[in-house]
Amino acid sequence: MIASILGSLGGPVLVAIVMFLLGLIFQAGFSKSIRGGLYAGIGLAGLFVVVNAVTASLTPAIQAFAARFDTTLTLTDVGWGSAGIAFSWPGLAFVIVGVIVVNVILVTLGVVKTMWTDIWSYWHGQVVGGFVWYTTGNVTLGVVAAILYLTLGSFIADYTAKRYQEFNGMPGIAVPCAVSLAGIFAQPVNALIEKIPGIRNINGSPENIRKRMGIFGELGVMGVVIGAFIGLLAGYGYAAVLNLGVQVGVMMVFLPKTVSVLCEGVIPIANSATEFIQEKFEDKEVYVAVDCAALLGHPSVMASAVLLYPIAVIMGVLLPGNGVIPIASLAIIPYWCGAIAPYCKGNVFRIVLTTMLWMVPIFYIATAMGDVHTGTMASLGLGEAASSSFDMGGDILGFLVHKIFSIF
Amino acid sequence: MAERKLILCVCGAGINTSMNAKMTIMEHLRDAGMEDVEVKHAMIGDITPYRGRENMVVVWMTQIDANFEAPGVQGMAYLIGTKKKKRALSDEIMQKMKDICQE
Repeated sequence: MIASILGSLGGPVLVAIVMFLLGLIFQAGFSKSIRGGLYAGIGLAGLFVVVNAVTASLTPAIQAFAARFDTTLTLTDVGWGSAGIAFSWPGLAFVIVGVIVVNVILVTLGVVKTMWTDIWSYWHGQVVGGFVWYTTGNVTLGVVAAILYLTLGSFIADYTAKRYQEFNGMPGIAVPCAVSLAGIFAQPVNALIEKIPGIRNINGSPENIRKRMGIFGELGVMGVVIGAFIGLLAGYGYAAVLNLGVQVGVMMVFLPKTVSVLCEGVIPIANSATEFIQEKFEDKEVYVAVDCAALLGHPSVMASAVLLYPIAVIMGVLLPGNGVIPIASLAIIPYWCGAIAPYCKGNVFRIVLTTMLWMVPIFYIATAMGDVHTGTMASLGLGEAASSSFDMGGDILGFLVHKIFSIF
Repeated sequence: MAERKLILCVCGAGINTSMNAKMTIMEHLRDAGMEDVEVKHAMIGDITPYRGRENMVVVWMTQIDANFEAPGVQGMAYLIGTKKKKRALSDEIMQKMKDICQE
């Protein structure tokens, strides 16, 4: 009942109300809470506009391309567009409060050391919750799934914390995002590489790689190239090819901008929640959760990422049975590299190799999650286009949690 | 004419973490009545155009990239520090800005 009223308001209005109320609860102040709520709503509405506009021109092209070459690549990759699910689905507020409560209990008991202070990154779990809600029709199940997913994140964060702190020179931090799983994956892979003569001696200089990639290392430029490439494969004329390139460029440049406006709204409220959690544990040795963006500073990370942009597109085309040609999701590649780099000691060759291996299951999970991804997006007004994404459609932990909760 | 004073906040995505630092710094500037300083946030992959810019202090929300050859500070305190630490960091940035603008 309440959920259906909340659902009928639509994401942007809902997030504005929820953020305003959370701001009051965590004592961010009245005017900051209002402004935060409004900016969150504006940012989310902007995200809707960008996703809808770009998928409207990209989806027919991808389908034409798939039909022409008889491939399985029919899903439009909306990347961070899936964050739209996180901030529109009816469980939003319950997950935020629920995770904080569970986390405070677990840290108090000493079960985990990572304080889940990075409220923004709850969105990953929110999307998993949204998927479960869409599949089961049950908001409560979705909320429980989201809390479980995010709580598992603090265990992953504990495990990876020391390595991340040393490699990035940031004492006291931890990264509870699911991208940290890529780091755990990198550990045995790196150990294996160490054992192979010849291979173990290969490295690459980060500075040279970035210089050589030049402007193609920027996602906006890369987006135009990929868009034009898809237009060519779809059999478009030159004007349509170039326009599709620009459209994909729009997605690469403006999708993060809309997310940033959304952040501008969430940040003051998130910071109040952070202070609330931190005050609880002033004398305890704990880790503070930060966004995985903190891991991207080592020069090897972006160097590996720019090499992986074209590699990922080629992999997407070559992998048999894959449904997603990576476009907007290229933006998540640096995060994987950031999670993997500390375990490969910043060796570019190893980071690239490990990330390639890591991406293989991601492609198939993102493909398998296509229907759920599409259905959830559509039910929240984020477009009818058949869609998926690496993050969160291809998320391994999210996939497992969703599978378990779909049994109910 | 010299270029405008700029504080560039850099993180991995140019979305959330750097925006957080930017908002705190802007609040600090407003309170201090300093209106001649611009604050921007950016993704670490997109900052090459700023290389060599004058009158700029970089706030790294990642590791400091020494190759970027600009005065910079490590800004993680904006994310995880206490209010006192945040204020001290803002003061340090202002001091750096003063230093380079006098040269």
